[in-house]
Amino acid sequence: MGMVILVSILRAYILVMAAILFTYTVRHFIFSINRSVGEQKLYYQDILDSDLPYVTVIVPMHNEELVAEHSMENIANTNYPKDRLEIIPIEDHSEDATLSILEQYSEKYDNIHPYVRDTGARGKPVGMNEVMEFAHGDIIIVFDADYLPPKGIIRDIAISFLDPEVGAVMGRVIPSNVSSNLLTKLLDIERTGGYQIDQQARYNLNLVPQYGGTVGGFRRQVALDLGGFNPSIITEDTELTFKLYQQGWKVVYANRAECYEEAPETWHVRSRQVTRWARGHCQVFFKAFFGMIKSNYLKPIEKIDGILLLSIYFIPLIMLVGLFVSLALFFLGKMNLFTSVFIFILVASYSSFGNAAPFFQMGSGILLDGGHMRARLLPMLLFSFTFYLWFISKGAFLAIIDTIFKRVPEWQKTQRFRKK
Amino acid sequence: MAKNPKIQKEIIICLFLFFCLFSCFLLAQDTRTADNETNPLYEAQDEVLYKGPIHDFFARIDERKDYRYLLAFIFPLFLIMAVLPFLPAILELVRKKDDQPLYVNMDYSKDPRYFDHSFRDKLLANVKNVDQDRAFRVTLSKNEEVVEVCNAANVDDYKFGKNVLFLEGNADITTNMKFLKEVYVTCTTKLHENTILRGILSENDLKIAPHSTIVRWAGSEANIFVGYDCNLGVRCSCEKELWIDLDCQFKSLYGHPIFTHYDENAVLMKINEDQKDEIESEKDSFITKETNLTRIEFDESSDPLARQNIGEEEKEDELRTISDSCIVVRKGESTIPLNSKIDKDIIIKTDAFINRGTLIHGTIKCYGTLEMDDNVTVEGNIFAEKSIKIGANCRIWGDVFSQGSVYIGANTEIGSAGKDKSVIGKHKIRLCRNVKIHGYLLTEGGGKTVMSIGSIGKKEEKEDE
Amino acid sequence: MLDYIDLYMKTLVSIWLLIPWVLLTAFLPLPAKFWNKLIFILLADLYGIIFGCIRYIVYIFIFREFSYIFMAPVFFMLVPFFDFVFVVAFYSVFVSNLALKLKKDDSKWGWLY
Repeated sequence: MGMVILVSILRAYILVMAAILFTYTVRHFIFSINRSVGEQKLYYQDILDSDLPYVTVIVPMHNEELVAEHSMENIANTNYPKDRLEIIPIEDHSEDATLSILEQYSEKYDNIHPYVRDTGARGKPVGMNEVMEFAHGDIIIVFDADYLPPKGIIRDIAISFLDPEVGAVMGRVIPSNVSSNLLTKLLDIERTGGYQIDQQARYNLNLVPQYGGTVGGFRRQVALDLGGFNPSIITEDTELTFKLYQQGWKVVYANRAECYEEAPETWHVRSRQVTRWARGHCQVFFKAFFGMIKSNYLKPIEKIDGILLLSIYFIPLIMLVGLFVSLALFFLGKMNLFTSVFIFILVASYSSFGNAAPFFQMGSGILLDGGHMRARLLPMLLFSFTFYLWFISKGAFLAIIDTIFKRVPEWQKTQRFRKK
Repeated sequence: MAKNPKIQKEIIICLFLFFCLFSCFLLAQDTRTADNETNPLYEAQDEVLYKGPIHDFFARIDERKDYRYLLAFIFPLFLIMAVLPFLPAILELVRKKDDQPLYVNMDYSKDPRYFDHSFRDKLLANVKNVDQDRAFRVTLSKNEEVVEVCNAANVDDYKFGKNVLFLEGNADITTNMKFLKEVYVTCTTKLHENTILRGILSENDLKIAPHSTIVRWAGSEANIFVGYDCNLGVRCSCEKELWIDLDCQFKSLYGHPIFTHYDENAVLMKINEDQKDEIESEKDSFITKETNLTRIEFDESSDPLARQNIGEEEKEDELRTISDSCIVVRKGESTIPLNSKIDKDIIIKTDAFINRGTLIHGTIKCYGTLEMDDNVTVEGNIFAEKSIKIGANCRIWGDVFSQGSVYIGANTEIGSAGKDKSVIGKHKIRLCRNVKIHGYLLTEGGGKTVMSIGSIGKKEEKEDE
Repeated sequence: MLDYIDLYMKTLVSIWLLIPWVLLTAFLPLPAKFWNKLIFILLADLYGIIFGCIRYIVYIFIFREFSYIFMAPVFFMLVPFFDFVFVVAFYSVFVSNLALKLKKDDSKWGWLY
């Protein structure tokens, strides 16, 4: 009897998992179809308006001597009106030459005012909270230190705030170091699927595009009214996204606001990065889940998409458990056809979590970007699939432990690889 | 994975060779574990194996004793087929035919006069290289073109010319002229009827006579005057005033201001052509406004009678704020009453109708179709997920942005002198007479100057969708 | 062993039937001719059938010659998991060929911005 119950539970788990994975696959398929053949929604970049908002650009930095000069040079040379722009790089407990680089730029440009933090807790959310208190801009635009913003991107991001419902804007991230190795090539493909198809389709369908914390902006006063960024959550961008939606604001995605970033070049660095993202995202899940369901500002379809987005970093953990369940059924001799085909479907999703996407979504994105031979790297996603299965599961597991034991994770920075 | 691609390549080759060697090693094994070990599980399975067709199959193979030779063929084939799916990826990693990042133009800057400025800059940079044939070469749109320098008085000699033209002086281009390439004029330009041009830039005023066609773009550093029934291609832009007559088609316009000024003869012709259809479909009051050509100036100090505040009539559960400066209206088809005054941004989740005389100190965002009656003033921007219809004699101080179509009634003014504002309609834009837009206008579908716009019926909404 | 073989064969046949559907939906957003898509789908399925049969012989040899302990890892890592590699490989080759063909035709990109 006990064995029967156990087998039933295990099979039920497989059934539920198959349903969840199928839901995500259908979701991503809809996104691919919409982006490829559906009507595309206009973004606001074509609006020409003399009355641009006052913008504060924030660039959090910790030991960024390898990349600080490049990003500051690009931001300083923007075509945004200088009288409507202030640039505040946050020098956060750096131990290298970051501060001296920022001081050079401060002397050269009147609107660059570095903010130095050498006391108190370290971390991007804490630094941004402090800067938001005294920043003059109505709009805050954030770039990570390794980003290379083009001249017109600040205007392209800021213009969308003419829409009174827009709370945040997210641009598109493009790895600049694609040619380094297999990992950077795979990351480039993943980004393509995640931004060119996934984010744009969510914008087209009026669902829940996500603010990613880099190459994007938000309304300063709204962020302050919502309590600023929670220092205990390491993905403050995800937290802001869901807070905005719960309060009736919208996040828009700007596909043409493209910015180069530096992708991790070693699997070790990537593992830390993706574990951190998974951990932070899952933390937000526990905080925002019921808020999304209860919010009166959201339509049912937005709530469903929001919950699917919130849950996405739990899927690898659940898949990993599903694999063990399948093994148990196999050794109990109770594995049936459905279970084995489920494994096929499970793999069929192929990286459909996080900012990554199923293989067909990435293929469509590569096509739209004008890429060609890089599509042939798609089978190599098998390696990142197994890689993510472990490290994202680890991040999700840590988030569960953080929530149960109310731990505060330590802020980690991604290692840079740019040559001096 | 190692950073060095050469090392990466070597690792891949080594792994492949290892697999081949391992498979050969397996084949060289001359033992069967079942023969040497007493394995109860194996013995039990043997009992199962030695029953039925599987037993017969292996029994026949055992008799032949040459199954290893069969496997010597099958095993490598298995390995090849297992590795083959990775082969295109491995080849791409090695050859690197597509390993550059997506191109991002780091110097890109939104410029409504991009075509004009880049064309002129290229010509002026290379004109000093003119040869004895009074020609020079320049790269335009990735192709190298020959530019002929000539006196503007002789422009008629260059009909159907295959080269770009650099005309010195005032150009007076006669009727039925066709130019397959771009034309640059150093002074004023006058195009007569039925002229077809690929592109033109005039340093001074540009006058385009009726029935002319610009295939790509037209620009002027001064004013542009466009006659009726012209096609203005992809972009028409100037530094000063851009006047457009009736029945003109466009995609993008830029001027200070853009002004739809109709020639009376053209209007009469149009009325005669479409008289029956227009009388049946248009409202009488609307047609009356068209022919009177009166323009109502907005007076900021005026205080229309009987203003009402929106929100008082709405039920509490239909109203939700997202900030102190914004109200959200949700249920039913929202109608803003006559002569209302609203001092906030307003977000309407459905279709909306704004009655005449309303004054809104804020921005409107509508998720449905937004229709505004005559004499409405908006001191902010207008956004709509579907179409926007702005009635006659309206005053909009900000931008108009629609994911559907934009219809602008007669005598309406958008923006203000000295500032750039935009009118953007994804599907189409229709402008009536005496519409003034300070700045930029863009549509992906098609723009047109029309006699009247009527009401947005269900049919037009379906076309927009 | 019989149960295992039974499960294996049924899984393989189900995957052979599923591959066309998976590829059909994956190809759906792509701007290519239907016959080209059909040819690739048939090739992928044929590859799956041939590879499935060859794998079957190899696995039976491994179990018989070495140990049945390899049943679980072989099934979980080298049966449905492995099938997906070549399905994605066929898809990737199709997309890259299509991209090279579309590269020459600017008009296809007219609606993008």
